[in-house]
Amino acid sequence: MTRDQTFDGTRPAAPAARIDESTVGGAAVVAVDGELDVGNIDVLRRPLVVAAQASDTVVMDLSAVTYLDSSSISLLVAESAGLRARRAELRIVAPAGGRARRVFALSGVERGLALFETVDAALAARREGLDLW
Amino acid sequence: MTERIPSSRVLVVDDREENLAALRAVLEPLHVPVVEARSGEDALRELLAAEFALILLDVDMPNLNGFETADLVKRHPRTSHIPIIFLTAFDEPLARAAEGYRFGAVDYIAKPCDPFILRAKVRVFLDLHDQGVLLARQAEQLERHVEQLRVSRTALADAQRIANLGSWEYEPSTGRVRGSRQFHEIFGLADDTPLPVATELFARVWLDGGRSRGDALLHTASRANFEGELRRPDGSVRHVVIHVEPRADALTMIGTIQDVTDQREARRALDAVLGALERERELVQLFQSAVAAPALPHAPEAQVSYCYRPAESAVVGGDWYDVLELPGGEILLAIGDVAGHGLAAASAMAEIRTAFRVLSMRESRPAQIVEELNRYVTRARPDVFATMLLLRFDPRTGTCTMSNAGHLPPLELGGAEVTLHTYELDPPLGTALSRSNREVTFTLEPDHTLVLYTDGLVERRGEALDEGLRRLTERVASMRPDDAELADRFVGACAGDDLRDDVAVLSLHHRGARPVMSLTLPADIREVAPLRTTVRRWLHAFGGADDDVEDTVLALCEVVANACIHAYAPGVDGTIRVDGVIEGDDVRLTVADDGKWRPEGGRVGGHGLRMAAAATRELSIDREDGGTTVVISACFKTTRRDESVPSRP
Repeated sequence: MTRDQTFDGTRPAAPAARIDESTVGGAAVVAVDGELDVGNIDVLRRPLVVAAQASDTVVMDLSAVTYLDSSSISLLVAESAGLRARRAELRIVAPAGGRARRVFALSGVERGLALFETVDAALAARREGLDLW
Repeated sequence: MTERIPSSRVLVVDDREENLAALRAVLEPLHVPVVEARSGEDALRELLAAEFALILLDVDMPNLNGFETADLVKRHPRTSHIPIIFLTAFDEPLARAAEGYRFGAVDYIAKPCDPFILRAKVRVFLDLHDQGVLLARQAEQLERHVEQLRVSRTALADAQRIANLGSWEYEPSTGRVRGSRQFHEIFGLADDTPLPVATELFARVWLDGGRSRGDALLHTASRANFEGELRRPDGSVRHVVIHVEPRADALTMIGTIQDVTDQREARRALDAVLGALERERELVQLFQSAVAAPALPHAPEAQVSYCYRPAESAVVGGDWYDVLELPGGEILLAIGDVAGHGLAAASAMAEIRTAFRVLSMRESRPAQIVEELNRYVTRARPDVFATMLLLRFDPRTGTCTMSNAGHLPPLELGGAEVTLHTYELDPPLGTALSRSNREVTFTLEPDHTLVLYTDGLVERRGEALDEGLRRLTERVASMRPDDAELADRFVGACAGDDLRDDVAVLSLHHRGARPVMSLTLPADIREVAPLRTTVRRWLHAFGGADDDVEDTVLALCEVVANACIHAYAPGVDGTIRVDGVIEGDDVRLTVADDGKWRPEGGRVGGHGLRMAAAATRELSIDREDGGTTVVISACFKTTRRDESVPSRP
């Protein structure tokens, strides 16, 4: 019998991520729970695009993310730039010591993104931003 | 006549020696055997001893005289046909001659007789005799020929009937057709009715799929065969093959007609059956091949081997097995046997396996999965009855959780002796019997091996199952638990047996935690997540710290995802090999592909390798024509000091 150590791709071990979409005072909030990687990043792409169309301020809550990789960084950087171009904003909740903050640090994009400790802080910053505007 | 028949003997009867001598002399030139008798009694004895063509009988003899002797000769059925010539004294009155004829004489000669006349008469009778014999022989032969002819005519008629073949003859000048009995039969006409003229008769046949009328074949100038549909007077349609052959005299045509409807239907039915069998065989092989090679688990602690051997009868059975790695890192091992053979069993097997895979995505308790499978089989495949054993293995602890629906007990190697895990069973799937859905838990120690198998491995005709299990444990007792091809060894151990049933064997060796791992996986980004689970667990098993393990895993996954995307063109099946070695607080991971590096087209980004480099102590890339090798070195045990990251250009 031939032994073929290949994988048939049906292993039920895809990374699991749950996405919650809500609106708080005119801001769209997208919260992610679980793991995000190159294999499932599309679960985040659609809600992010929808939120960006619906609202001038999108809050991306990554505080419950347990794994994040460069595909998420690419998506967030691109969406952030897109929103900024039409005077809207992507605010990312990535508390210090969390996985997301660590990955942003490793990727060197920290300074180009609007990072916050909590969702409340991100929402409050919105009001300040409007006042400033 | 030059040749005498062997029975052409002449019997000469006379009581006087001088008369006998005279007759001998007269007959001598005829070269015919002459037998002499000296009395009536003598003569009768000779007649019964041999065949004679003629008797020359003296009338005046003592005791039995000539007439009395003749009377007896004529009465005996064996001798009554032999002609008798009476010999009598010259002075005998005429009345006696008349008496001679009354006793059946054919002639009457007075003594002393004229040798010429006597010879002539004898010759005539001998010739008559010979001719009679020949005629009788010819008659006999003729009779035999007639019988043979009759037999062969019957045989021909039988053959025609059996082959549904009729013969016919056609005279173009008159338009008349003569046909055999079967010819009438095929045309649906009574045997004794006169046949219609040829053109009318053959117009009932349609040739070329109904495009031309059959009477066209009467104009055929040479031998030919036609196929067509014959419409009979009763409306039925028969498929016929007609052979036509003009005779050499060109005045008549002869031919045959054969009704091949039944053969064609039988052939079609046979083709349908053969086609169905062939399709079934292909389908069964398809099902079986889907089952035969499950993915092997990533977990370095688990070494799985499997072997499937079809039955020698080439009828595929319903044995199956499967191996799944759960998101939490546990491994599910399933083995089952669907009762029966062929397509039904194979399709049920494939269905059960698929249902098992679907159920295991939302449920990880073996008893629960088995219970739901039973519900599925009972509803969806009420025709099916199947045994199944499901085992969940946790590589971290060696804990095995098992649910067994009527399947054979798993066998464990590695201890002092071979163990059979004979716990109480639930009934097989698809039975209405009540189920306890019990789950048993035991520990598979490091270096031990659990073997699951189907009944083909142990069951032998006319033997109790216990006997087969006992033989199996004896045969495998000396096998090494860590043999990478243990399943093959198990099947090989029974190779000498007459395997009427198919055999499936699945083995799980618990290697314990090892500081070395090696994996080969398809270059597919969907493989990255399970790889992450495996490596994460592996590093934790050796005391890894959460954050450092996550950084190392991130680096590895970025490198692997990079290889999936860059090394192989879309649609190309490539593989990636991951090797890991733990030395103290350090881990070295090597990712190798054998593809060609392709610059990523049209996508901005490429944060991956930069992140990987930032997350580890060292990352080196070696790109060659034969593929790319990336080596990552990382410390996976120190607690991270701060959030700062080395600055980069």
